[in-house]
Amino acid sequence: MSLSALTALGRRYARAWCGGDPLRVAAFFADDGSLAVNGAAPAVGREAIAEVARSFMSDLPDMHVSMKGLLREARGTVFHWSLMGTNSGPGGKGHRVQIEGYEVWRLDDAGLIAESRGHFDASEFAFQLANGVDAPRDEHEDPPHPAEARRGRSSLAGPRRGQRSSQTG
Amino acid sequence: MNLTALTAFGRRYARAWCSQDPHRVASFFAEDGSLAVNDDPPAVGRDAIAEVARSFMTTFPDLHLSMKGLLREGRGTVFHWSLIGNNTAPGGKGHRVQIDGHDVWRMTEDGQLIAESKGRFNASDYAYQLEHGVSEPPDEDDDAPVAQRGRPQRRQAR
Repeated sequence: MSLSALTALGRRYARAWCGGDPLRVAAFFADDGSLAVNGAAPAVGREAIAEVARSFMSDLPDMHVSMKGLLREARGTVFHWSLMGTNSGPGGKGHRVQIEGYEVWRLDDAGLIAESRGHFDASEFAFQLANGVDAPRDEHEDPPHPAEARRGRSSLAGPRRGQRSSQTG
Repeated sequence: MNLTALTAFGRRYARAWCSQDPHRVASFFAEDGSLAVNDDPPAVGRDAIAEVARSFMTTFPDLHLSMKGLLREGRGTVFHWSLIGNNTAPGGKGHRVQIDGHDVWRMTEDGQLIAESKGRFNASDYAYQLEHGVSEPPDEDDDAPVAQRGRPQRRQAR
């Protein structure tokens, strides 16, 4: 698949994650496709994949996934994404979450995802679910560059002074 | 420019680097655009940028640059590329070079041209390859993207 076609696929895939319909996400995968998140055992088959999508959509009902871009690397097609949402689902604390990650895809001949290995900073995600993206981290760190802080990367996202936070800890 | 348009722009830019016409590369830049390579001072203006392109095109008469992809990041649009060429220019040692890198672009206000490009690649690896060549022999599999030739074990499954 050409880079242009891959980019179009990636954009449609990102939109599917935004739509609140987990089956739309699953439809991008081969029947026996798999989706693994952060090295956990993969969800295999469209129903299992839809359940993974459903869990994110349930936690973050207003979830928005945007495509940062895509790289053809030796290990596969690497789809880079950025996620924003509010944890207003059942049991959620209502905090805003903003995180980046990527999926390494192996595509089949039909252009469906045969295998996706997704990665993001799980501890940062957990922190944001508990505290929100804007919550202070370590008071002893220097403030990050705003552009970096917005990206919510744990190593860079120090306290953002002067901003609202739902928790002071 | 949206991601689809940026991808098309990147593909045309990569093709320009393959054209042996340095002015084609320069035409992707604003008239007062700049191109910096690693820690060198930037070339400013299309003529200066064409000279940078010419130096690579001279070093590698068969220079091929392929686009690996691009990412929209906070710092700008990041264009990832892979270069392959034989250093058969006069004075060159004839070795094959294959190197990956990326350029961080700031586009002009109208989004149509590159206002500033900061390029990065591993200069010591590049210098080593000019002197000694890449360690792996080329693979003749034309199905593989050029950047991946010679690395069959890392090819994407189909």
